[in-house]
Amino acid sequence: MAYKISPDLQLRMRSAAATQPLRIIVRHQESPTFMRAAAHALRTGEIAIRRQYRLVSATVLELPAAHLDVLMQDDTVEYIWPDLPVHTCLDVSVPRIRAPQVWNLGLRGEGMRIAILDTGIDPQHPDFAGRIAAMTSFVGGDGSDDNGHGTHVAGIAAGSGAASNGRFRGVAPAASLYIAKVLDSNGDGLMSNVMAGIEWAVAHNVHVINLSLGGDTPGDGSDALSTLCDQVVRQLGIVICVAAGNHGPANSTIGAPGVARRVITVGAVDDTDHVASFSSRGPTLDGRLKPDIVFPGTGIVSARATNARVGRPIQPHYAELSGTSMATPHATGAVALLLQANPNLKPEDVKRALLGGAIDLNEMPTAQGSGRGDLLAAYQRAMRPVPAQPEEVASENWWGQLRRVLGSIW
Amino acid sequence: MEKMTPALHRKLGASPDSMVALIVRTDGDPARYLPRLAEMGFVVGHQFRLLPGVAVRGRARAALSLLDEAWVLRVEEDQPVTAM
Repeated sequence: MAYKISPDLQLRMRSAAATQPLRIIVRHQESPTFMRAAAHALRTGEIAIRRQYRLVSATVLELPAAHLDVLMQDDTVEYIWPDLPVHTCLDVSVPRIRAPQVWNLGLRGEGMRIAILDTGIDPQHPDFAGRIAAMTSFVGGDGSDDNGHGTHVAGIAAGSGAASNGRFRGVAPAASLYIAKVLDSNGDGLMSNVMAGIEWAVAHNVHVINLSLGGDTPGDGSDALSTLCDQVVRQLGIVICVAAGNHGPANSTIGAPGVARRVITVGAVDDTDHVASFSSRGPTLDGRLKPDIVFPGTGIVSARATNARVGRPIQPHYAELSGTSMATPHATGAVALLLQANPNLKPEDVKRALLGGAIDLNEMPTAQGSGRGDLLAAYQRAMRPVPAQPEEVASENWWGQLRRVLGSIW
Repeated sequence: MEKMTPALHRKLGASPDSMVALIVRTDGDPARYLPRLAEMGFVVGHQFRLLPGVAVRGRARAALSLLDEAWVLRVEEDQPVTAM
């Protein structure tokens, strides 16, 4: 019966005490026998069912190691694996949003200018060689990253993957980077520093600004930082992508500048395309729907700064981090490629293409916005002639949007 | 648009001698008002052109006095932001 158990699980069984709980994935026949047995074990408290899949006959269970023998002898059980932790490396998350299909069209961000306002960047990291066009700091120093967050974010948006033979490549790997350090070595800052960073980025005529930061107080978008963001988008035509925040799953947990009307506010999904519990939810305090869209943001492996204080090191040049901060640069890189494909797009066109191409995850609009971003679908929309549309996108009252979504279900 | 939220007004009034960091939106180029801000005891940080205004630090009492200045459009706290 051991053939039913994956080799790595067999190894774990040898070293596990009989009472040690193991989390496993069981593939079984579409038979009531398995579920009856599972239900019985559930009643006796010996097994906990963690997840049941619909597309394949498989169940995630947690049970004492000793019970695996019983499970092996069940005729309806076909195979058992350990449920291992996973990393969503850039070589997983970037293909998931179908960026490589857009690269194959000759679009990698050449000539596009991306501003990252964060904790700075490691200018020696091989993944950014020759592409840091300018860097500055509004919190002291020269813009070098003494935290690690900004380097990780920059790697997702535009890392070349040079230190990993192209494996950990960002979404727009040929774009130029404009780096403003607006957060200190603890990842903290003030709104005024971010505002100064935005003015600096505008002076450098960037195409898109990434803000993987925010306040923890729910807002209505009337604060100075959100107002500045809206003004930059509307009057100067620069796209701004902002993290929704990590204060979920409660509603109305998005702070400034994620509550700004015209920015693209980005939540996070996990590796199974479920909205991450930490991802902040809308609506805004004045009743608008946010976030606008979600992108991968859990366990993302990207560039690691030499002086990194955050993230779990995976290789010398790479580390793993989770957060809506990691989801946001996926959107920023996507915006750079869309603008490269069609330079005539206005920010509202870019937002419409991204939101319109998003995959509906069947979660609440206040959690997923329009859904999970799909760059190829957004590209196809961005290349169509643009019909006349209302000026604002995704800023309608969230009840209105909810009614529309529910109407399509009913 | 009100110049200051009631919550901030209460907070400043409760401890008038405390130091506060503020963003002050101004009617036009903020450079015109720097002498007046210095006179009121504020230390000026960043000046903003796209959304005219300044980041300042000063006493809560002085912050409340800003409400009497005709060129002041809005006073708000310079709130903390963090990496997400």
